[in-house]
Amino acid sequence: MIKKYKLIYLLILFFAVCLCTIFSIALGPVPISIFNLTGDTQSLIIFNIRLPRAIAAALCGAGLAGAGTAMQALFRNDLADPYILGTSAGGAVGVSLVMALGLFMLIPLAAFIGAITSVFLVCLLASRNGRINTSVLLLTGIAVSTFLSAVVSVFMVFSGQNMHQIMFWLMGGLWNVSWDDIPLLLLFFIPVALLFLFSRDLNIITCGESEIRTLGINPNHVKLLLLAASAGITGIVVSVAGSIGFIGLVAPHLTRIITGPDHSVLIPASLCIGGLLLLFADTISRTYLSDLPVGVVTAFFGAPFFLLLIRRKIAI
Amino acid sequence: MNADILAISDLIAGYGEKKVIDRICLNIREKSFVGIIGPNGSGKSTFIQVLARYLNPESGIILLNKENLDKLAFRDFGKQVGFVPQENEIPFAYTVYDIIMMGRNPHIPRFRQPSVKDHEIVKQALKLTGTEHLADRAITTLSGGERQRVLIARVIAQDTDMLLLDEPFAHMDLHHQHELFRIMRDSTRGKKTVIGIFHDINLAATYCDELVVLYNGRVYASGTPKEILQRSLLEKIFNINPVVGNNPITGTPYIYVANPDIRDISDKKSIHLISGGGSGSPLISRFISMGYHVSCGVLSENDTDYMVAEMHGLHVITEPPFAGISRSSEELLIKQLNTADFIIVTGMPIGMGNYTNIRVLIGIPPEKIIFYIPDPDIQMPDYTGGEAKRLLSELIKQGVAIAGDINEIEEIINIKSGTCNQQNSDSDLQICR
Repeated sequence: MIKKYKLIYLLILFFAVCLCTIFSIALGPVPISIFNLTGDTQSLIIFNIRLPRAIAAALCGAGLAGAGTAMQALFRNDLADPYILGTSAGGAVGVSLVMALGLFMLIPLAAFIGAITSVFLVCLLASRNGRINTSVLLLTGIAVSTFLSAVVSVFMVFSGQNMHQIMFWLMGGLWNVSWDDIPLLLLFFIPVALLFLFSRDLNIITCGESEIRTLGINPNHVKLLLLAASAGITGIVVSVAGSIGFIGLVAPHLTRIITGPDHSVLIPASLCIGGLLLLFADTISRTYLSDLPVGVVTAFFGAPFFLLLIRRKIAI
Repeated sequence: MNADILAISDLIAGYGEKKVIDRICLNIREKSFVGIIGPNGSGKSTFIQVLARYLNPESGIILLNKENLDKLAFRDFGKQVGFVPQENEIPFAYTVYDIIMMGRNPHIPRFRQPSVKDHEIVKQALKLTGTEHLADRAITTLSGGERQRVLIARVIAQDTDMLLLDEPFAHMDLHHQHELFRIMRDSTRGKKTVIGIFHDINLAATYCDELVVLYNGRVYASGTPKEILQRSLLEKIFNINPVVGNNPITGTPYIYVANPDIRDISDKKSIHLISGGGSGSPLISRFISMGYHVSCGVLSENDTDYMVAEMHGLHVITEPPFAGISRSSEELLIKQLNTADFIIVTGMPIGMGNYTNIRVLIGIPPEKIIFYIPDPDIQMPDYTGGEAKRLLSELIKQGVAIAGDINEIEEIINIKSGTCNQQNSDSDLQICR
């Protein structure tokens, strides 16, 4: 199914991500030439601070983009994304709860459970007779998201000493990232592989609700599985980088323009584009914006993009 | 006789409290082409959605090739049943080729790519439905009709024993409706079972072997189009005043709706129509739709006007073809003329065979009579040797009204019903020969 020229696109995109990761570590508050490292401090900055951070940024962006792509297909709605549907907020509730309790070891697990719970909660609340309307879905996502943010605030108030940590983490940032976080992030390639293997199912699901079954797919099982997979990816990313919005929304859109909507190409390409986007955003933030949380940077660009999409939707 | 591919018993389905399908029992024979008809809200779409497993039934058993539909794995189900939904909005720009390839999905094992054979089948479906030129186009750029054509190509590529169609031709123009119906028919005849909802009864009657009428969520009747399309059934089911004729080209029943409502017409005037040779046919349909009581005669049994009147179920005084007007018919006619509020005489040729129709008018009050001459150039040919011409001139002298079109007739009727003394003898009626 993958045509040759699309395979070439994918290779180009993958190399672009690798190259950008390497070049990005040359940029930063301290100017360092990566080809001419002088002294331990510089190599410390490069290898222990900038490199893991750049890799983490690329991975987080990729994860969010993968989850966003799958969610847009599952809801047949190109406005869906883990941030808008409250999945990230669900992860945040899990993380802030265990942080408030001081159980830092459990952060990934809590984020994972929180994200999955909230995505199914939104589905349950938004569906009428088993069907989900676009505007109802988005409004439910916003309502659940707001509610969960309030829950996070409550945890913060009662968390005492750990409040600062929760706050910094919440704003969505990558400054805390170390090599220890990379294996955890790499774990999300399991659910990503699942999404990729089900790309033909995703294609059919996006093409119409009523004929999924006659095309040989059990929608209940497949949707449940893939939704859990995308929430799982989101949970892992949230546990490392907090809630970063709009990457999951923007990346699939940009990618579809290049590759078309076939998920067997769209998913890997979208991972690359998402990785690039977050890498750019994070590099800009730490180099020129005195390490502003990267979630703020993505919101600056992503929110207007979201508005543009809504306006186009309503015009139709 | 083929075996049953589908056996449905006591099927109940609906949305929440509302039962849309209420105990349907139906068997569908293998390799038959079945049309489901019925008024809006009769449960047609719900029924087909249950068969496509889009909607779960509340109770009842559906056996597909003697296997319980609920128990069937979806992959196996997709190998046996294909579905073309009523409307389909595809939000993303898949190519037409990719969309049709989705029809092969149940046949392709998971984690495998489509085989050479799959590509071959997709190309055949493109060719069969005339969508080859669209293969690389994005589905989002197609018109509604083209999109529907692609979905039909997809179901053909799916190559299932049974096809379910939910008004698949609704968005198409006449030419494409017939073309696709024919493609569907030809590619499935003797090979596959087709169950389709068709809004256009005439189209359904032309192509279907069998019709199933749904009414209030139940099977009201089923049988061949000829058996089903009866006046009384259509009147009850669709609440229309239908005219059931025969499509002379295909020999299948043909429905024409004379009056969308079965209204109470007892307060309307009665009209007797004297016509022949098809000159009265347009008047019959118009008067009925205006709500008049219409009677006709005397007409020969091979006259077009007689056939039209018969389809409308009118009271007609008739004579066998080429026979003159008998004494008894003449008496019937005079009785009819006396009871009718108005008598309309069309510009028909007059010969010895129908001269009586004109002769009897002499004894009738002239204000009840209206001559209908749609085109002054088309004259009333007289084959009676001047007798008819003399009679008609006499009638005009007596003050018979003349109308040039149907609206004028109604105007005259309205005026006369009100005042009954308006006369209109200025128009010049040309009688020649």
